[in-house]
Amino acid sequence: MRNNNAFKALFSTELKLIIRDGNIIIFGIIIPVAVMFVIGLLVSKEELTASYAGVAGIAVLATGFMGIPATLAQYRHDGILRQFKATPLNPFMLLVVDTILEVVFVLVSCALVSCAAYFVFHVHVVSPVRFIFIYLFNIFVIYSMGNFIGALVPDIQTCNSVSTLLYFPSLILSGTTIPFAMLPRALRITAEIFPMTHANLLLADAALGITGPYDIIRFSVLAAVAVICYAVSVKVFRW
Amino acid sequence: MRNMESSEQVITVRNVVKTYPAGGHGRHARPEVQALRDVSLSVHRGEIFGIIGENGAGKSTLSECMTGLQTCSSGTISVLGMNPADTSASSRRALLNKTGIQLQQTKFPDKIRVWEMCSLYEGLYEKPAPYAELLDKFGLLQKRNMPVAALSGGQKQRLSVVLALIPQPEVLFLDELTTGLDPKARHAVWDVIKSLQQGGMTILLTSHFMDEVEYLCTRIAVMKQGRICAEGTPSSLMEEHHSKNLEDLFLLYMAKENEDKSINKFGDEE
Repeated sequence: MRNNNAFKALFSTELKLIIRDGNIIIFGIIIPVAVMFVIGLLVSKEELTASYAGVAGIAVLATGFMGIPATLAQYRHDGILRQFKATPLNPFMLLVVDTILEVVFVLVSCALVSCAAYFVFHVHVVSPVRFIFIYLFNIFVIYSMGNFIGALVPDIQTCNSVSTLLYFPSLILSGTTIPFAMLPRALRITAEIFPMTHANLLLADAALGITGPYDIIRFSVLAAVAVICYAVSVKVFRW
Repeated sequence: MRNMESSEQVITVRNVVKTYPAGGHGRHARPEVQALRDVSLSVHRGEIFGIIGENGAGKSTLSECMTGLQTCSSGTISVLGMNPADTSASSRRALLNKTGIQLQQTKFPDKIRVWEMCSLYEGLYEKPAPYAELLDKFGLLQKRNMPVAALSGGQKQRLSVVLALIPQPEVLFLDELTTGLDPKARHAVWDVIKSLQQGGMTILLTSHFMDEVEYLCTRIAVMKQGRICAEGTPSSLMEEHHSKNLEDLFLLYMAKENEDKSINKFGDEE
């Protein structure tokens, strides 16, 4: 009962703080919906189905590479996790609540982008169940990397640098804001080093209802990356 | 004044040693540090027990070992009959529901409001005190809708004491209670702390302010380089050493301990 109250108190407080901070609203909701409209006006309907998958992933990228590691590093830097250790609350619950909230915002973002794609541009996802499964899988993978960064970085400045190094190239090259097919070949090859590229290609295939030759390999490699990242994060985590 | 002290031991510390291992590399390398060396003491129910000592004497480490924020390398600690080093969730919850802890440095999320912080803490404890009453006692009721970031240093310090009192603790740990407070606010906070003791609360106070310790504490321990070098009531210790106040006594102990060592005027070993 008390745990329930603690969870509710923490959830409502963290929700208010996230909304007041505003970053997740701008980068996780407004930008993806705006990008959906821009791309929708620029490309053909067929290309838009593949692009829609990438746009839906912008919120995953923003929360996974910017939100989660920054929250972890900031809380550690400010001693907030340590302060919660002086209360009956398990500080781990704070991290769980933050992750749940990030996922909620991502799902809201995905719902809004999907509504825009479906109602305004008449995009139809061919395999919706597979699409949802891959979308949740992508959240699992990208968040593992966010936790990995948050656990390893010594301070908030390093965290911001590492997150920026991963976030912006992924945002531009991984098919989230610029359709992957529109990139020159050299950039497409470069983009293959980013996990988000493979996550988006899996999602695009699900949206189009096709199975690419490398989908199984992509899925397996991303799953392995996630397992390794979560294992290392737990091992090296510091309050 | 009503004397609420009893002979019941609420905190017992026996032969506690805390060693921070050597670590780091290159210019970040740090040697092994013995923060606590065979420390033993007892705190009785209803006491305000003060721990004084120079910077780095081990006061905060001892206090944090008592609250379970750190674990001692050897020795035993009991608080309200419980072991603060027991990390199981149920034991931690049981102990922390009966103790209030004000850390030396308290940080809050910048954008949180005063009442939201209190409300959050209210949700964490089994029998929380009404926070509005506590805010009023510490002169913060008018500030309840302000973001914590907009509070002054002294107001933040008072808020940290309010949060420590929300669980209605049997034992209250205060680490540098009045740092950053102006004299008027310090006296007001002292009066509240005195009234809590008169209500039966046991308080462990770690402080650099000798006037505060002299005014509040029923017994004190003087710490020097991880050891307790004196323990007793402030008046008995002052009488024993013919000191006119606690500050003189403190300086006397520090000078005595430093005689055989190369210690500079700031208390650092050279």
